[in-house]
Amino acid sequence: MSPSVDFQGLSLAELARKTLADAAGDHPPTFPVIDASVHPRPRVDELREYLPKVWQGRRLPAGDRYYYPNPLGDSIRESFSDAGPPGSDPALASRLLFEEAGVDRAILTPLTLGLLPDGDLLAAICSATNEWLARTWLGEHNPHGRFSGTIRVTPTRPEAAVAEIEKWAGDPRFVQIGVPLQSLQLYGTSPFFPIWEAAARHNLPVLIHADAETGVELAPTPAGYLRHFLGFAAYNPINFVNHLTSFMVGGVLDRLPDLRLVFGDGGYDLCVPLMWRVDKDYRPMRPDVPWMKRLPSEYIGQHVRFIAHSMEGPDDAVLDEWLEMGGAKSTLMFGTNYPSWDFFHPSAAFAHVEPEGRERILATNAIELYGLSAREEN
Amino acid sequence: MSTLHDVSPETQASTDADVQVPIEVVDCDIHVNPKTGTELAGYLPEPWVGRGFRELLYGGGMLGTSVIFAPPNDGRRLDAFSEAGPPGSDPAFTSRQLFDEAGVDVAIIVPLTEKSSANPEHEAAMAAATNNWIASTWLTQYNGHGRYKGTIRVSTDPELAVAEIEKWADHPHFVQVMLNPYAGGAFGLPHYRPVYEAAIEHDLAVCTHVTLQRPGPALLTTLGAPSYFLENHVQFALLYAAHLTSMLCEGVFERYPDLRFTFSEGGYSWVLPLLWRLDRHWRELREETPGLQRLPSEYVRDQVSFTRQPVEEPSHLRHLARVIEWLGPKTLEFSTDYPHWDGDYNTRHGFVGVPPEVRAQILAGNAIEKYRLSPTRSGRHWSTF
Repeated sequence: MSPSVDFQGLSLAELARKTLADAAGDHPPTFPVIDASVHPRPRVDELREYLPKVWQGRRLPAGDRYYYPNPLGDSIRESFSDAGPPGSDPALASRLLFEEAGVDRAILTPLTLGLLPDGDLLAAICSATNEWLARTWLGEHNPHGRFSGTIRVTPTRPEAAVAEIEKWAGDPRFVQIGVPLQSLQLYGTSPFFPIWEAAARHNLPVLIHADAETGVELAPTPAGYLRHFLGFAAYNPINFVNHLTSFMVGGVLDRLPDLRLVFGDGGYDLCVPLMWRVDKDYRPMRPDVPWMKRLPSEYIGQHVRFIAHSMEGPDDAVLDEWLEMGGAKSTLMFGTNYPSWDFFHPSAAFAHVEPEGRERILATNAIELYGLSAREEN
Repeated sequence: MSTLHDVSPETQASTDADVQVPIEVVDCDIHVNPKTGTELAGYLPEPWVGRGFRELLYGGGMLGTSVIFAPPNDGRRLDAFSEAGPPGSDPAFTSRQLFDEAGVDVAIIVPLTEKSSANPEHEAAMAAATNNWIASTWLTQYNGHGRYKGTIRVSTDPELAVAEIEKWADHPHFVQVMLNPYAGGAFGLPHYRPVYEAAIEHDLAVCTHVTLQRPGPALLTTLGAPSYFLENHVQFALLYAAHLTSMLCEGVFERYPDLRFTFSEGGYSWVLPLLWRLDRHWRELREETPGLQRLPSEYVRDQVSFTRQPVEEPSHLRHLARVIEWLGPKTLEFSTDYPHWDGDYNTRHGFVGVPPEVRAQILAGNAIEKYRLSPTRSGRHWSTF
């Protein structure tokens, strides 16, 4: 696949209008930052090599968003290289993240080409992606030990997902499970329970993150399709609410006290009012869900983490107050979302939050959740 | 809370017919019902009656059938049943509970008596039946005091909707139009423009209101089906967030600065983080949306409001006051949702830390301005009209 398809003389890199410099702020953190959201990407030809023979001839989508063209380009300009599409070059990513952006360690979550309707193919892609990640970014490109990984599984094939979790759970380089936000069925319903059970058994948090679009998803809002990228990009992450409430009312969090959910596209900002609402509703409607033992908001601290996103939340003037209102200083983690256009630069992130809270969000919460040990300097 | 018997109409009736009292509480969301389905079906227009659709559209009981989730008490306030009929069907009983007990001065009726229908012509016929019924009963026969105001129900087909608006536009007590939030697509889509234009031309506000979950596009989330009403009830906010996002991105408020739009019963505080998101995205991506000339939050502050019930109850009561402060005093309006199970009647509740003048705006001022209401009403007791 060509990294730079020419269009009227402009390469994709030149069409990418956002840069690392645009994203930078004036407050580089004085402590090691954990980036919980980096998206490496195998080239399609690379991925094919890891697929069993039976799948190698199948058509694979590019995994790009194209229904909503982004006027600023989908990736930051610096992430383009001759090695492949943005996110496919570990040396470049290491330089940009560790040297330029001041990240200390990164949790890698490759995307898996979206909600492919052939679940068997998707399960094979997940396995191939994990094998690829283990050998490359977590293997030969990880002499520094700064990369940790996400075990990708497809909830549309629960048995394959559990097998994949069992396969990698003993590998300390993998620190969580990853599933797409997109689904045709809410995650708190019973078909998915064995996956969450396996994750909890191995103390692996479950990251839920928006994946590529394939055309078989339900519409991105209950009122149908929005027609602008602006609206889609602002709205789509808040769909996490549907999965979160489903986990609660389905009793999954009561049955699995060790289950940890990580919402990877942001959403802490909306958690405050939504918990006010669902707490109020819980009291009268409890007879419908007698297995749900606690107020909905009480599950958040124990079970739920959010990865902060650059395009959400209030301005600095009230940010600290809003974080306090939602108890977010203990539930929020930081992620750059590399190589996405909305790169969240550590030097611009939570810069005016009091120092202890900032360090919790940019480092401590992730260290605790993922059990990251201290890194040796080399 | 007082019982019905504590309040005697005679003791409240003014002897001076000309005394005007200020309107201090406007209830922006009440629901009234016919005593029986047959009463409402009698207002269905032709050609549907002759073709046998009265039975098809209203037969088999009426409202509430085929609802898969049951809110507590089947969604109704248990003490709102009277001998005369189901909750919200007896004008004297309703007036006593709303005007005498809850202290409401003016109540805006949002009738939910129109079922969803796949055929927009059926929807238009049922909307016409509801409007005919309400116009002759709650807005006329029961409304000598003028304290009930009405909402024009319309079809999701814009042409049919405009025709229905034209029919009622000069009626003194219809003050707004309601759009169905489930069918017809996101409210920013251009096919709604004639509806907004008709409303503006006739100085009517526009609202949307969630309804019971009947067959049709109502329940499915973006990620699958909810299993319990508790989930669905929270998802009202996501439905309204989608409509609001659509209206902003498509430039509805830029195009129609006189449009006054209200989201009823879908919550309030979620609007704040949604607007933070939209403002941030607008700063980066506004080249994509020529219809959006200002920060999204600015349009909302000026032109959009949300009814308060079910009022949010943060554990720190002052947090709600902060949200009101951030969203602006015009964005919230008092509502009881009478006679439904989760109504809010207390005009003190939920105002901790809210300045008195903002509380007055939320209780009445915003609605008086939006609905062009007189700031006073007759001081005579409703039962003397």
